[in-house]
Amino acid sequence: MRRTLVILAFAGLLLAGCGEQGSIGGLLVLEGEHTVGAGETLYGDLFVLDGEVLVANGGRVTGSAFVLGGTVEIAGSIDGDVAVVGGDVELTEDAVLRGGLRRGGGQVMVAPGASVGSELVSPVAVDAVIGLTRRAAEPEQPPGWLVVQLLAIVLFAVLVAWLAPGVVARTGAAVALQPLVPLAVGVLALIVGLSLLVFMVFTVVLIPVALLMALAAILGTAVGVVGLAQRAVRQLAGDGSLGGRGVLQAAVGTATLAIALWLVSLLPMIGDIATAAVVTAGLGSWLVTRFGTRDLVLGSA
Amino acid sequence: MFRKPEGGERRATSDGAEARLGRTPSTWFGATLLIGLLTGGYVYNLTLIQLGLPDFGTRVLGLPRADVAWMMAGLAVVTALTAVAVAGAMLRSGRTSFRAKLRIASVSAAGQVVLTMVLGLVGDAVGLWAWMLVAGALLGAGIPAAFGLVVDLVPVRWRGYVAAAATAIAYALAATLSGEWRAESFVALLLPPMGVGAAILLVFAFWRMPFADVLGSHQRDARYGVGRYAGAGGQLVPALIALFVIFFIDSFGFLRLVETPAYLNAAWQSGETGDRVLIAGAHVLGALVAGVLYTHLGHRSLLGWIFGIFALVHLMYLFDVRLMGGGSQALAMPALYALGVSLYTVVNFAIWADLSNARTVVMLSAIGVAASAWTATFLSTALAITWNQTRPLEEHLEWVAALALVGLLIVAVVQVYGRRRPESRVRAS
Repeated sequence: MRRTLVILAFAGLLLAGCGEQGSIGGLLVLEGEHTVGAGETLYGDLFVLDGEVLVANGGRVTGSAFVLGGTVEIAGSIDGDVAVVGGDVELTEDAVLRGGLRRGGGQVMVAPGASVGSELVSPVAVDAVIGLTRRAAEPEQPPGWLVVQLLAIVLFAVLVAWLAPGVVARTGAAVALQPLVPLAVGVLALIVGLSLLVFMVFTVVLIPVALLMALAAILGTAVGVVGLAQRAVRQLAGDGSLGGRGVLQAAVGTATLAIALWLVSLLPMIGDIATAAVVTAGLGSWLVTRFGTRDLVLGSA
Repeated sequence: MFRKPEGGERRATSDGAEARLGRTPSTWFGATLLIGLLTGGYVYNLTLIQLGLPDFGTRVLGLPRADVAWMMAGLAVVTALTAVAVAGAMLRSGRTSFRAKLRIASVSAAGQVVLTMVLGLVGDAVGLWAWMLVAGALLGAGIPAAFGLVVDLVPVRWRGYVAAAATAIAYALAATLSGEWRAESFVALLLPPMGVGAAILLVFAFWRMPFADVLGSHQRDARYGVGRYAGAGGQLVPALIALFVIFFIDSFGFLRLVETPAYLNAAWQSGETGDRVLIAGAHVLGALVAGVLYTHLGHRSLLGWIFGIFALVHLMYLFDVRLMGGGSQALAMPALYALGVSLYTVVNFAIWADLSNARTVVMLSAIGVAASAWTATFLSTALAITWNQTRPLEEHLEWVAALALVGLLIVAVVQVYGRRRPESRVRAS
């Protein structure tokens, strides 16, 4: 029952993300001619590997444009960034680029009068794509936003601990009893995984797989962090306290950890390091326990 | 020739007895001594031998690049053969004690100091050939001695971390201090510390000190003298093959990348100190991670990461060459490369002693280092010379990436279907 719920929840999240205005929408152009006409809106990102694309005056792309090849003419508006790794890109005088223009290669022509948020000329192709993930500063958060975030985190912890108690327990045990191993694996996974994701994005055809991988890694990291928090409560308070209930332990532990990290984040440097360590250990614990399916095995010969 | 662990010996595991291993001054001193020895030897090898000699041969003596490359391959062969021969002689004569190994290692180090001092006197190809042959012989003699000292100086449980420390320091120094790859710079940089280090080693090796006797007795203690894989059976050949392929992939790929000025000048030989510090940081991080994983999960857990990283990084270079015309300035690629190099260096430093006991360590270390590191270097150098002249960079990288991917596939299959011998299991409850 629990496994079915997890699968359904995961599938639901994916479907929600794949909607017309969802975060995974977009257009992948491999060949031929394509036009985002006046009054039309392309939701999501635009990936151009080859072929010709015209964003006409009055046309709009809500995401960013990645150009690895082909020809792109922009006379309309792009809400995100334009990253050019290869091919030819022209921004006409009517073009409105709200994000940044990043160049790692190819030919870029910007007509006088074109509106460009910021032009960041980078010789580094990989940086160009990584840089696209850095969005503009978040708007000022409304009062009580932290409480809402905390409640969401606790709700997530409760759901995970209720739906997959074994996974949470195993990841927590791995982090608590041998913290260096999950941390080391987490470091490797983050470095290699990020490189792999960028590389997969470059292939264009693997973008959906890259997105799925990233989503799975984020989910696994979150589960690992919940496991760590739950285990901390167990060890600090003893198994007999809190009725020995995993769900309650996970909720209390995750809330405490989130508050502690928020407090530590007020300190420069130390906050970032602490958060990075927790996140890395969370990801590592999920991986060393084979996605939470088995106990951590040490020292195989 | 090889002897199984005796009845009184036992395998050192992560059990309570091992956990109670005393952190005595002799343990700390031994670990520090080995870190110094490995670090010094590796920095010397990474800088003057691998980078300085090609520069000296081509720039100072004006020899063709191919000729110098063949000399480097010859040096690798002499090193490998000497290592095995010296190990055999040590075994036959029964000179496998701590003091005997230390003396050979100190003479090898002192010889390298003298060679470094006289390098500037070499004036032609014959002289350089002679210099390289002597250097190869001295390096080869030092291999079984230095690697054999592991069983005297470092308890089994510490080996991953000691190997990590030596790797981190060696690569950090080599990456940050060697901005200019010129033989003169390396000689000036290395001679003072090498001279001091060799002098200390000589005094320690030939002057009778009670402290040395304490260290010498360690190899009779199972916590030092019996490696974690000794007696497990069937571990040596897979380790040899895996490390041979890894060394080959690294050397074969790197030799071509450093022949590509755009890549070289943007990373390993960058004029920006920050670039080299980043690469050094990647090396240090990789060494620390490898130290932890080797200690707690064993060497097999690292092989997949090593092959995977090498495959990924060579595919990235290949992508850059194919779609972007090559010459990317991105530091992500050399940093990732550095990470992979550190991972396998830690394994190479620790694994041979861990496959051995106190008696077999000199021969297994010699075979391991000679057959994997130096033979792979010889073969990759010879092949790279030919390919540099006949094949484009793209094709070269295709083969390196393909080799790494095949290695990754084989490791994955072995991991899934291979036997597992868990020493302990951390339970969720």
